[in-house]
Amino acid sequence: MKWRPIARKGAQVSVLAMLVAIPLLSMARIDFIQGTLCSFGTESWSVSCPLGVAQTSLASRTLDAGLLLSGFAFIALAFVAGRVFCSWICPQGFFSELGDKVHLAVRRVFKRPPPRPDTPAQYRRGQIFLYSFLGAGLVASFVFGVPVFCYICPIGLISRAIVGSTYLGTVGSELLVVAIILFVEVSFARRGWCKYICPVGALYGACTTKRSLTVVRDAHACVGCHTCERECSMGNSPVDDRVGRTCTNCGDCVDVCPEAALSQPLVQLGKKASAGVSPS
Amino acid sequence: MSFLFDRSGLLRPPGAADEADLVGSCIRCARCVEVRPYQSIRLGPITALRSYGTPFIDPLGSPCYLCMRCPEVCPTSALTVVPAVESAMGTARVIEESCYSWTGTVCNQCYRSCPLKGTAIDLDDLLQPVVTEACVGCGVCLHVCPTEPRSIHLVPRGETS
Amino acid sequence: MVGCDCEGDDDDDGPARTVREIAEPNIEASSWHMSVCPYCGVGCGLDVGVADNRVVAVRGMEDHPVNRGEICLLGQNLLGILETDDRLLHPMRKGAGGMEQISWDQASDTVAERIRATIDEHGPDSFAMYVSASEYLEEYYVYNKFVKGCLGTNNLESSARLCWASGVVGLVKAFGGDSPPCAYEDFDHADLFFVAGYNLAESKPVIFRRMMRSRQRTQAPIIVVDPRVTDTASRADLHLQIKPGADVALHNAIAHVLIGEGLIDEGEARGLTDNFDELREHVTSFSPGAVADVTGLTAEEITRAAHMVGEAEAGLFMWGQGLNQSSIGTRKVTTLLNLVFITNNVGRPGAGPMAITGQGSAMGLREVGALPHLLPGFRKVTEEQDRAEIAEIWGVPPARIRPTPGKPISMILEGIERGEIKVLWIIHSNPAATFPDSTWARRVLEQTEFLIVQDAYHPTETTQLADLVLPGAQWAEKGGTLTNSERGLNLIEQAVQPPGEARPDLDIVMDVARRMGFRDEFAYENTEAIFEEYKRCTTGRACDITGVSYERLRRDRGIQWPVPTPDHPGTVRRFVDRDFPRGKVHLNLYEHQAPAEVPDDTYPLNLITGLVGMQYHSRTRTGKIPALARAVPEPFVDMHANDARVAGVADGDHVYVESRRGRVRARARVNETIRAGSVFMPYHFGSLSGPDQAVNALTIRAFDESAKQPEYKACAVRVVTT
Repeated sequence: MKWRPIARKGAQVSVLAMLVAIPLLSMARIDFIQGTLCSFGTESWSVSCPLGVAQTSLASRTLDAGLLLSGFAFIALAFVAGRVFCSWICPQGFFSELGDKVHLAVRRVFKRPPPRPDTPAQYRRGQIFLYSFLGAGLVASFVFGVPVFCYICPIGLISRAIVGSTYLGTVGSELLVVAIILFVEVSFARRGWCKYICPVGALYGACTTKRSLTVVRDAHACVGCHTCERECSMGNSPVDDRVGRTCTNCGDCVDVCPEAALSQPLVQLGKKASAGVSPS
Repeated sequence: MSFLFDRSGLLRPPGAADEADLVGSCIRCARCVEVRPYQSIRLGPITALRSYGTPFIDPLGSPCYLCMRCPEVCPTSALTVVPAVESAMGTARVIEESCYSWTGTVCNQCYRSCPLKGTAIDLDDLLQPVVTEACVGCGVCLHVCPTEPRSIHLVPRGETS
Repeated sequence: MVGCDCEGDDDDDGPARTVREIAEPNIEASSWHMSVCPYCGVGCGLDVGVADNRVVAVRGMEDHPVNRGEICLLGQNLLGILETDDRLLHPMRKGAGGMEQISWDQASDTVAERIRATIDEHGPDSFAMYVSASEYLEEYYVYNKFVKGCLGTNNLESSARLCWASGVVGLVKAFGGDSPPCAYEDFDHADLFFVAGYNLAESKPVIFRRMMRSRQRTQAPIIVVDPRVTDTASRADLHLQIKPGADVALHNAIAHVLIGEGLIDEGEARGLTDNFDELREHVTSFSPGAVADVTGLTAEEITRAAHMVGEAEAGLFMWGQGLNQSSIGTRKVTTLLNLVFITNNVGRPGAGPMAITGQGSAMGLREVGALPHLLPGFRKVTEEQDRAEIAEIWGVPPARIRPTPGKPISMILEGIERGEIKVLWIIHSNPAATFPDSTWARRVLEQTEFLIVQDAYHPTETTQLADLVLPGAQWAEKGGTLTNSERGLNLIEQAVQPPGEARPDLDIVMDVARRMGFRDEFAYENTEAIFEEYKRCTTGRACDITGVSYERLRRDRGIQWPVPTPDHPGTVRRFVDRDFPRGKVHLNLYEHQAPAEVPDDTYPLNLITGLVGMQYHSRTRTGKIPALARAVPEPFVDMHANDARVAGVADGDHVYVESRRGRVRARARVNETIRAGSVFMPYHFGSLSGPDQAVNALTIRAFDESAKQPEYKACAVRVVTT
């Protein structure tokens, strides 16, 4: 077993554990830290969901320097490392990845062919929908005066369900939305939410630049076996040098590559455009 | 759920923005819920529509004791730090027809429990409770009122009774 | 109004006069019974509505002279105390697997045999009985006769010891006899209210409203002496926020100013008292400046209070547990009474010491003598003639009544610890929660060879420790008479039958007595027969009720003793003719003395315990009523902001309050309602309320030198964050 999958699962489970631990600590009267992935911190600092910051700023039509600053941490992370939030932190990502394993198992059981990577056209259409949805939601937040994505965002829904069921003693009815998303992903659309809809992931994807962390193929070592392409649940195709804004830098392709032809160089300085990122 | 007062107006935590601003600016992070020492803040259920995930107080369950901790941890302008006396959550009114102290039983629980005792609720010469302009609507009086139904009418700010 | 002896004119007293009734919804009362509120010593009259052997409604008695239809929150919620989940319905005995239900025959035989066996083997003083101060006169009379007249021990103690012992000893030391001189009517006539260590706004709401109503009319000023800004203090014209325990110095200083500035009529004072010049000499060293340090008050405040006292025509002096519950309680009370006497505030309308007890029958049990040194009719066990008179009425050999006083509760518990007392019978009291240093008290009660607890509820902190529990009736489930704090007699009619196998307490004790062979002594046909026998004990005594009968009590409410003949109207006010038991009243000269335990570096704060208005005692009755319990669901501790800062405590935090004896988890309430250096906690919570909630685990076993009342208002504690 490679170190990365273990570390990544460890991180995802830790985040979930923190989401449970914070309200439990609060119940035990330890409340120096509070919050969820929508915003957490102490009295002196906060880290907030940048999409939440964007929505509430639009919805309330105010700009608050402190709030904007609190949203900057995850934005900065995305600038440096792309959508690593999705693969290392996001609780929905964790469940979605598990769902993907189920999805693949179901395919095997029903003797269906393994999923094919998105064609460039499919990928482009998906990206267009993804960013249109993000844009429309932000406009809707402004128009309706409420942060509309918060009603469907599984990250917040899971967070509040945990707070509700531990601290407030309410039933986490929010998890119904999460369950529907997972059902659709498992049954029909491989990681459909994360790939085509999730506005949080979209926002982080939008933040990536050519300098951001991504998967790089060593063309000399690559034998063109396409293992990486089958492994990628987000529709990218490293073997064809098609690694787009959906890439969460989970590194699964790197780990499965039999020739060790893929890598995630921390410093992208001086790399050639052809050797790596080609955002579609 | 007994948090519905006067046409579904919710009693908001101290220092809350006006209703329209609050539902817009609240990032639904639940930090106000988790901050101690009291467990008074609830989150709007999905049925609360615009108020889903936003903080409110159910005074019959647990009222606001004006510890003023929740605004301190709010990352947005939904709750802003204000002095307790300016927390402006709503206004209470004594229903004199059913209030013990107004009908022959000396009670005064509302007065004794009021965080702004002597200011927001005072007693008249015959020890009958009177709510003043200084009431911030924390709901403690409603919580402790021993009559059934309670003899305190609490109107959240922004709602008209 | 001063000087007027007529009924107060109350026509213009505003709207708060409606009779309010709390009732079971949808059940109409089919009969109404007269009753008295069983809680505090004010003794409000109640009408109790009954349907189908259930109390379904309670309301203030409209034509009752004490409350005229008004009641307080506790009385209003009396319905909730009868049908609780924890009513004790059957006798039970501790067995191998916990408490096991037994029959009344078995229970009564066991009690009779155990008492007989221990008395035969270890002598009568190996038995003791501890009863609540809320029982009826007839019950005390029977207990007294059983314990002192039949068993031959004077170990009959009551919980009045924890409540008004110092006050009563103070009255006796000053007046020469236990006879509270005032009437509630005096509230309508006073032109000064001096309230010392007494939060009557919470503890006596009906009386407090009466006082406020009077003040609304007369503008009579109120002086409150209290380390706390209580609801009473916040309505005072002058609040002396005294350092806890310094009352003797304050009283002496006020006397100093009164005498020094010629604010009193010395000739009158000499005529009234037998040692005025001694007092005059004694208080010379107590100038307001000299006591400023010890009292924490400025000389100006003390002087102003003295002027208000001196200028009053009719001053009503009230005190409560702030004075009584102290290791110098008697000193505090007697020095306050000195002020009453030198200002000639006695025997006149609106003037005098008003002693309202905390428990409903704390006056009555004194008349009946349900204390270790007394016999019925304020007689003393130490007086041969007193013993002889009572022995004759009781029909027992005079020699059987012991000439030495029995033990107060502190010494009973110590006696158990030493193995001298083997069998203890507790009736409707909860000392495992209410006695100071309750961890010790619980341990001692647990090691009692045979502990009998008669109560309406189980478990309580005390029934938990019992070897045998007996189900006693509660309030409206039994009949009898009560004397209130203005010496007024009232009848409580039995309204319903007790639930399950519970019995009126009289029947339980008499059944045991008869099984022990005392058949003739307890051959009463009914409760009224007991009352008639007790009446004979009062003839010619201060508490003469010869002229009272059940029939008259059904007609006239609140007849105040002495009532020597059936056509006597009752005595509203005592000592109008200066007919004091010893001719003159006595001034007691005392120095200030610090409490047994004072704050130090380790335990820097002084703990004051007290009540909150919506609870009563150890919550066995009021704790189960949601309407009452929700306001104070757990112990709290009031801290001054300065002390909280030092301790690192914020308002609303959960903290531990620790003393040398124990600790309590409490919610901190940081405010300015208490003098810096002291903290306040409500005493209602016992070990059953929750882990680390027994407030008396903190308090100290220090007692008043003469009254043996525990010191609940002073022990050293610290507050630590959890």
